Amino acid sequence: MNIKDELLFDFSITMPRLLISGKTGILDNVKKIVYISENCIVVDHGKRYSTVNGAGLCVKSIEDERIIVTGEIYSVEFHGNRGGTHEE
Amino acid sequence: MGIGVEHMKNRGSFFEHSIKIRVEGFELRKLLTECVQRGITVKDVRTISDIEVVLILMKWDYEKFLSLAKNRYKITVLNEYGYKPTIRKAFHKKSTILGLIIFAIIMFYQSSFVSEIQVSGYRSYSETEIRDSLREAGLFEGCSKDIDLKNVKLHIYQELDNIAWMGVRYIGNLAEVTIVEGTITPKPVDKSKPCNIVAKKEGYVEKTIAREGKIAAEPGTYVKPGDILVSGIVPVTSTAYGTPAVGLTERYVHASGEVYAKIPYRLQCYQEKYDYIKKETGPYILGIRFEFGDLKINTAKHLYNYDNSIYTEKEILKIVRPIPITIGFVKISEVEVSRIERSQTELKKEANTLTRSVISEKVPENTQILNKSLKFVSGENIIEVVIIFETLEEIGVKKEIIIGNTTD
Repeated sequence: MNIKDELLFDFSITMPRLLISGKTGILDNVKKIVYISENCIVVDHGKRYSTVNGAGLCVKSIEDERIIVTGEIYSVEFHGNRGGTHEE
Repeated sequence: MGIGVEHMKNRGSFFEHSIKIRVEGFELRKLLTECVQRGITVKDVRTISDIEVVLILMKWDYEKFLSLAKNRYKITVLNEYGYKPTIRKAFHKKSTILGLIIFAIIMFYQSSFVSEIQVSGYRSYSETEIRDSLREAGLFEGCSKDIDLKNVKLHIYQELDNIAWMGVRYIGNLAEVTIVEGTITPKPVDKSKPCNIVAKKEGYVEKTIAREGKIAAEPGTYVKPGDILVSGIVPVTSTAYGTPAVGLTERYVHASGEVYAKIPYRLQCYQEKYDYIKKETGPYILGIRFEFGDLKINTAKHLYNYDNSIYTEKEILKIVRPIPITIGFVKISEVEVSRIERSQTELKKEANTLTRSVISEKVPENTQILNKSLKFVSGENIIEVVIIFETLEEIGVKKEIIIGNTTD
């Protein structure tokens, strides 16, 4: 990744940025909470949406545009105006 | 990851004041979104249903959160965390305050007593003797630390001979007593040095066995302590005519020998003239004796009004640590006292026993007792017993002659 790409990545504050590890997920650049339940959390990052699917999900903290989620995380989905749903 | 400096403080500490609340209403996500936008920290968000969540807010964000929620949501405070609410809760309970006060009083009270005494430095005395003397002086396990240590020291100096120094130090509830005994045993005079034999007691010289030296006190002479009995200065008649040594008229020797003297003793003691017989009349009072440090309560003592009584007690609890407490059952019985005069045989028998114990105290061991007499002088209620006896004791002790000093 060159410097230009890295800077664009760092300053993309309206794009989803997720870090999932084991039973913890960190969702950055959160602008809105769209849906929240034990099995699904949907957040709006500004330009795109992301969904965390799982079981027994619990929001450990909502702070500084960052949400920390714990629980069994099965999948992560991104939605937005750029060509429908993409699942990872 | 874009976290501002103003947000770097730890908001999750146990010590911080946080509030657990239940929020009920529609579109909870909107409220949470507003929290994100307003920078309100929200923790442990648990979704109970579509219209109910439980979450934790920091205390300083609570007012802001309420202004966001307005009256659209029902908010119930479930719990508060952190040291401030914990202390507040604790102090709102009267029982806790009372418990703390009692605990503080007990701690303070406990710290004002001596719970253990350590004695060190003794040589000729036994630890029991020293402890007994300390007890008499008022220093014992369970006594107050406020006792006058000067009086304790004074008592010990008076009670026990040959105490050169005594120190008492408190380490917490422990009293550390250090004793230093003085040296009274005179150093034996070196055999190469001249010496006299002097009297260590007063008495009448009975017999002198002088192995070396000149007899200075003939039998029958009354001597006082320090008087020379066998002199270490022996006169000489020089036959070294024509030499400077002819001028010498005396020489110094290391006197040795034994000097026995008759020592008279006159001691007085007292005996009861009558035997008192106590006969219980029947009435009695039962009570409890309770001691808590310096606080002493005896319920029976306050109630009885007998002229003559017998006091009996059965101790049921005695502890020193953590708090000195003594509890005992007390019985005070009324008695009738009558007296009968003691017989002469009984008096003599007791006087002899008394004499033996007095002699064993006053006279050194293995001393020959030459004669003994008892004289009874009758008083109103007591009989004075005068004990007169004579012993034969070795009274000589060596004392070095310092050349140039007068040896009188």
